[in-house]
Amino acid sequence: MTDWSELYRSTYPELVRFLQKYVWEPERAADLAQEAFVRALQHKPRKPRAWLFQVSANLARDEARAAVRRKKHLTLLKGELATASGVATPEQVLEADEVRKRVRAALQELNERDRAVILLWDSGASYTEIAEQVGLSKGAVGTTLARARKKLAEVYAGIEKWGLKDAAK
Amino acid sequence: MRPNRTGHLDDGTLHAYLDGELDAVARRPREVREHLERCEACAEKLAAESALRDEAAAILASANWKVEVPPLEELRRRAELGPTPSASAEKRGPAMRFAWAASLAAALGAGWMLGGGGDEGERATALAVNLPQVGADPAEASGDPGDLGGATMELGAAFGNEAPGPDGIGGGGRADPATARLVEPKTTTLEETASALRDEPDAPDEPDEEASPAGEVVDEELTSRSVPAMAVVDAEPGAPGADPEIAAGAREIVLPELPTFADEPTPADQAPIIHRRNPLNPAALELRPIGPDPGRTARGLPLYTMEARRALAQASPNEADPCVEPQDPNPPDPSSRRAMSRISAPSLSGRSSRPGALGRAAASVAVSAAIACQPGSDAAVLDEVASTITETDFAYRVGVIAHDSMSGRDTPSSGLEATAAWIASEFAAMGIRGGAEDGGYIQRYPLQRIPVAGTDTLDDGSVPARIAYFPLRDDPGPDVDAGELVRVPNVIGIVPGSDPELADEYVVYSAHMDHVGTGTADASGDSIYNGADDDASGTVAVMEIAQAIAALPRAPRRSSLFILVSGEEKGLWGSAWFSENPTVPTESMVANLNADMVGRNWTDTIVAIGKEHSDLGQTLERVGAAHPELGMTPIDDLWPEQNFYCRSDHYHFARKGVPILFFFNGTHEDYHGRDDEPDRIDAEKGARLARLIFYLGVEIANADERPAWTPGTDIDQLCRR
Repeated sequence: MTDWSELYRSTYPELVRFLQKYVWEPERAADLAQEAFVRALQHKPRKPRAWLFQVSANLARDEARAAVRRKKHLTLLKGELATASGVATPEQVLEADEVRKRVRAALQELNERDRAVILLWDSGASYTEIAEQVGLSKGAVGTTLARARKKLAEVYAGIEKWGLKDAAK
Repeated sequence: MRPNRTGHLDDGTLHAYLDGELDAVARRPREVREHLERCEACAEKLAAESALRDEAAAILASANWKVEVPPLEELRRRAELGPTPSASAEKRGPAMRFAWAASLAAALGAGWMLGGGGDEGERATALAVNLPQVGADPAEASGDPGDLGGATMELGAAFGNEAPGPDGIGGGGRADPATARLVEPKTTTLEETASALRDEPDAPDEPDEEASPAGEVVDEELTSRSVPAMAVVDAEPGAPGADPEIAAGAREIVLPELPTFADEPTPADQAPIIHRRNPLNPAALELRPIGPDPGRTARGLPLYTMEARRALAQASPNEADPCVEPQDPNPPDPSSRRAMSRISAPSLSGRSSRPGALGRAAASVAVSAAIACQPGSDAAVLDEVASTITETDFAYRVGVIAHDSMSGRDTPSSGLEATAAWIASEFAAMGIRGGAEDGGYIQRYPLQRIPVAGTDTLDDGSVPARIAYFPLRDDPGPDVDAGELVRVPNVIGIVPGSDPELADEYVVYSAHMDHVGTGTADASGDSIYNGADDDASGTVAVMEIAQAIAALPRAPRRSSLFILVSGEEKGLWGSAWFSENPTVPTESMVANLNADMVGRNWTDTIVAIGKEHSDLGQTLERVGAAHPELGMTPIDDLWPEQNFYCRSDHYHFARKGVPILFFFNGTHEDYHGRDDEPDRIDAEKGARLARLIFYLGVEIANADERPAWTPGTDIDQLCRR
């Protein structure tokens, strides 16, 4: 029997973090994560955690496809307000926004699979879960992660050094 | 270069080791672990990979937003609501019927936009199928199989099976065909779409057969139906077909009741601002001393009040105030002032014996003091001081405040801040005391920033947010995130009264320094709403009056408070704040004289609204009659049906029980237009009106009794519309 409270407590923030770096809108990410949980509660899958990541990945991909940006600025702005714990100066908010732009641009330079792997790891999925998600063998997850981390660090350093436009090309 | 001594262990294994996942990936994890612990050559490589791992984690962490975890119970309730996971569907109403179509449209778009490259997000963004009117919501669109039948049927209905044009979507009532336009016509079949979806490189296998996760349902059912034209319908902003709820992003933000909204200028939706030179005074922004040349005034009264006072103090350090006997241990008795002034007044000969501005200034103050030292009521002194309110001064100050560089003084805006700072610096130069809480000139009140969905669609399909501001009843204090609030200025100056018994009462002069900002450019390329008449004219009138009162050798008996508010155009925000957060007690304000739009129209009359509601009306008529040289006749409200009594800043004083008069020359064709320019201001008339208000204010300030309401006046009744 699934302990939903425990699963929810541990998995929900991970799903949101994962989704955030796909949709880049904190509120939309929360919406999608909740949607995934609502569906999980209805379907009661046998392996709920893996199922949740799967649904979230699909939702995130659909989101990117539909690319409905009607709320993008809105949610970005709202997200910035809630960024730091406590008081954030406008400068801090701007800075956080700039950082996110750079991270986003750097992630765009990864191929889809590497991106999925590193984001899944970043949001707390195990190698086994990642392998299930992206259809890799477990042995390939480490290799993929190593490559993705290297690429991310390199691209990000380039962006920091040369600015967003030049490095992203 | 060092040879790679750990060639036998690939990076993947090292990372798995670092990630604590060796058991999952290695055939013999214990051997690998032992090797890594022994192998010195491995240590360096391991350290480098470890650093890389940490760096990547840090990069990703730097982009995190805070995650709030809503209560699980809420999700359980949503789950129990029924077979449709997206409970919000009902809320969306008919828009949801086309969610499928929208999602499909997006997918089709993605199909031909994406070469399968990595920057899917960005390209899809460029595609920007801006379909608020069809309620695209992928989370709902990619529903469970249970949704599919209905969705498919709806899709058929939406596309009309065979012959839908662009109106196939619009025909559903969501977009006005008249304003809909074809953005990317393209013939695509659903087979192509389905195949595009199948070819997605990251399409994962289903981990669990018992449930079909979202987004994997297209190719099961929706094959072989031809979609003749892929039309993206893009409703014009504000088009009748646009769903206001969705367009406003109402699902995301529930807006409180706001008096009005303000657009924050964003580079994207803003026409270029053309800064035209001020036709009135091209050099208006050059720094120069306040006021006109000191030698130019009618009777030689100095405009450099501070200088004059300083000079006087230097000339006779113990007699800085010529009307006060310095050695007198008792407080001055008003009845004996005239006698004292005769003793202490400096000699008239000072004028000719001291050349130069400073000497002239000191001398002319001495002249005034010699005429009379009773508190500012002597007719000759008043006339002399009133004559310092000149057309040149008036025009110059309107030219500054309504200058293009002030960008229309929207609330909030940098132009408003510049205006406030300039007025404050003028007050300081006039020798006027700050009247804000902290003793400075600027009172600030909080506005909350609320991002709301924009209404303009850019070329890339995005809909930039705009920021709405609304005033807060209370300042939430410094703990609130600075990004959520902006604090905007009122400028307040005070000239203390000279009668100890009445100095804690105030005559309040007010005008609003803000206007409505900028908009799209007109045919001449002008995008700036200068607001020269509305209300640079009233602002300048108050400044001129302030300067004159500060220049009086003896201040009026009651104190004078000058307030230039902001946010008037947005809903009387600044005066509302001041009325609730007054810097002097509300009951100490004996009258409010408000000037809003006093620089245009008739040259010989001024409408004084509120005359009948207090005895200020009679006082005004008496003062006006006593100064025929002004050629300015105050008349009654010409437009009672327009309810102007409740439409400018004086309203908030009246509401608090302060009798008011509102000076207003009526609207005109440039009202709230881009041509409310300084060169259309009748500064000569404005100066005469300012003099009239000056005489009136001094009269009120010196009267034994404070003004009284006309019995039976009920402001709430008057303004209950």
